[in-house]
Amino acid sequence: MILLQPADPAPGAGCTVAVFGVGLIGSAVVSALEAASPMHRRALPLSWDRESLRARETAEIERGIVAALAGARDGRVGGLRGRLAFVWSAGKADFSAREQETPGELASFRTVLGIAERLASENPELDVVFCLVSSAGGLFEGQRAVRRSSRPSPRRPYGRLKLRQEELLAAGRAPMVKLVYRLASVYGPLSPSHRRGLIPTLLLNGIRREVSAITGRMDTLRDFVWVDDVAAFVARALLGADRGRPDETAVLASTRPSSVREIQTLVERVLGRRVYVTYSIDASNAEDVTFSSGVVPDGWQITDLESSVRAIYRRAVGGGAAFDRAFGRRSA
Amino acid sequence: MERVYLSTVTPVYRGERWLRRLVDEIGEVREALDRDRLPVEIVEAIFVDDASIDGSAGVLAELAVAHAWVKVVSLSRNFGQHPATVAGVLHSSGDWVATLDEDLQHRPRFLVDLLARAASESFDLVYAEPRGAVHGGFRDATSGVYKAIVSWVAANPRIRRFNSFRMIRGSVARAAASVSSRSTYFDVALCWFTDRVASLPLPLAELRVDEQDRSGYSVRALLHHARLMLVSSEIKPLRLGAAVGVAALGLSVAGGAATLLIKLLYPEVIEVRGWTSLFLTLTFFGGLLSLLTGIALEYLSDLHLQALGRPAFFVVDRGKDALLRPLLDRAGGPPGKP
Repeated sequence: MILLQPADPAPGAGCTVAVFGVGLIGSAVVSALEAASPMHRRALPLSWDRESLRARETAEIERGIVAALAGARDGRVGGLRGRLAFVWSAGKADFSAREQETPGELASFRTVLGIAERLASENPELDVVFCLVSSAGGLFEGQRAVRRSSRPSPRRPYGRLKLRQEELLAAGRAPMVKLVYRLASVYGPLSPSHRRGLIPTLLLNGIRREVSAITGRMDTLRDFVWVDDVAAFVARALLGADRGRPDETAVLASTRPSSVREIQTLVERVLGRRVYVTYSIDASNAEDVTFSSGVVPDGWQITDLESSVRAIYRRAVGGGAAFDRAFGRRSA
Repeated sequence: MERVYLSTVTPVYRGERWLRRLVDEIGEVREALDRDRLPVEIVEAIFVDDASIDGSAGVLAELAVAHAWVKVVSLSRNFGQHPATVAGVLHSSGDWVATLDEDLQHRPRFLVDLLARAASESFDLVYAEPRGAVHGGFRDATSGVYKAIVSWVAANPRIRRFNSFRMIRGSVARAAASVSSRSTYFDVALCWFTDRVASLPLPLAELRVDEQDRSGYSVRALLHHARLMLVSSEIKPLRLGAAVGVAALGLSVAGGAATLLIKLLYPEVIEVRGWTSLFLTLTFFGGLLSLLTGIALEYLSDLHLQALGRPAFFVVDRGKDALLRPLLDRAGGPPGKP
């Protein structure tokens, strides 16, 4: 996890943020928060699998958070004041996770939620926000034109895990603002360390002239959102979340369905050549999920799909030797 | 109950006067489908505001607030009817996508009939076929003549059926829309993805003409459509040039051989010297040029169609068509068939 502490030590200045999970979304949220206001960054480990380590690590994390809050105020510990945000964008389990892979993540979530609730309950002067990054795809898989009134109906362990996390957060009695953002299919820049979705995979393999294996149909519909849009929105929500702000559960989606074939055509247009693709006949990930326009929250802004795909491509090929080191040599 | 989802797409440019009635009628069809327990749901009515020049934007904003199933897409500037339709299709998520004009020329009550026609023989695309005059005699006649000419030139008989009131299989509609560029005629692109095309005779009348005596289409827009239709199509007569070239080449070679034989065996029959060889030389090089030009144009045509996005293949799933059987049962058989 990453702990962000406002660089300005003045009381009440900024917001201390603990980001759990620094994958594609978490790292983008950290960057957006740092861009919004100067912050000191500290990385602390949190094990997903090893229960024996988790207790020690969470204790260390809690101490770090308390120290960061006190430091932000006036150097004293106790009677915490100020603003503290938790962001849960973690996930060892992904969309295709099996049932046995989810309990570890759920246990970690319970632990972190426990820290947030305890700090909120024991420090009335402390404004606590808990932001859970959930999965619209996991919750509404197979549903089309999802509306505000649509009910989550997860079909796989990952979706059930996200729903359980939402339920645990909602059930808490501690005085804190609860923000739940259910994300559509998030795509971001090419990274050797992050999990890659459809768009970065097609781009990367297109650049390397390799074949992309797609577990879906040509006409499978998805809703793609650019990670920087998500991060900017979450950062604004955290930094602007004052005490008394109502809890919010919202879907962050473009509300513009895209078929897999459309994405393939778009990537080919950006690359200026054909990409090689194989489709899995027995596609376990071929269910559509799309969203109606009324489902997104106020203030949510999206970047055009083609613009962001071009940005990913420019960033990738502009990397030159760095790209070759990270992903292997490009084909001419 | 498993359902078939239907999206409607309507480009809006000057529709303030009609939009409320159009949405009301779509709403009535939604309710009727629900009331009759048919396995079809109009999941969204998408209106594409193509930089409308009247109060349409305000009306659409009101309608979107009033109805959760109304979705408004606003284009940054006026792009025209086809690009607006393409934009709407790309925002749709239905198993089927119906495209309707803004001015109630295409009554939503016929949506179920179009869908039933599609289901009758698993068609991917069903056009409304105007029963009687729509825009007025002259425009209908010139449009018909032009479509007939392009249909012949492009060797695409489906062009005669083109109409902006269509019921399209969702996957085919979105695939065609995703490859459509500024120079693509949307219906021609649809034909790249399917040849299972049908039509259904329906009474269509442009109320705008009836009530205001002014068509929604300017002559300029119609000419633009006509040009796009031609540019997007594969022009078969290009091959005629190559064929003529091959024939001329063959004729000149055969003629040359015959002339040579005559020269060797019966030189006395040649009365005018030089004329035959000149004629054969011209025929040979004329034929060669014609053949090479034909080949070059064939390459260009292929590249052009590739640039426009014509696919090598496309996969379609018609498995859900069986769910539409109740529509046929209700209609007492496939609509549009005797």
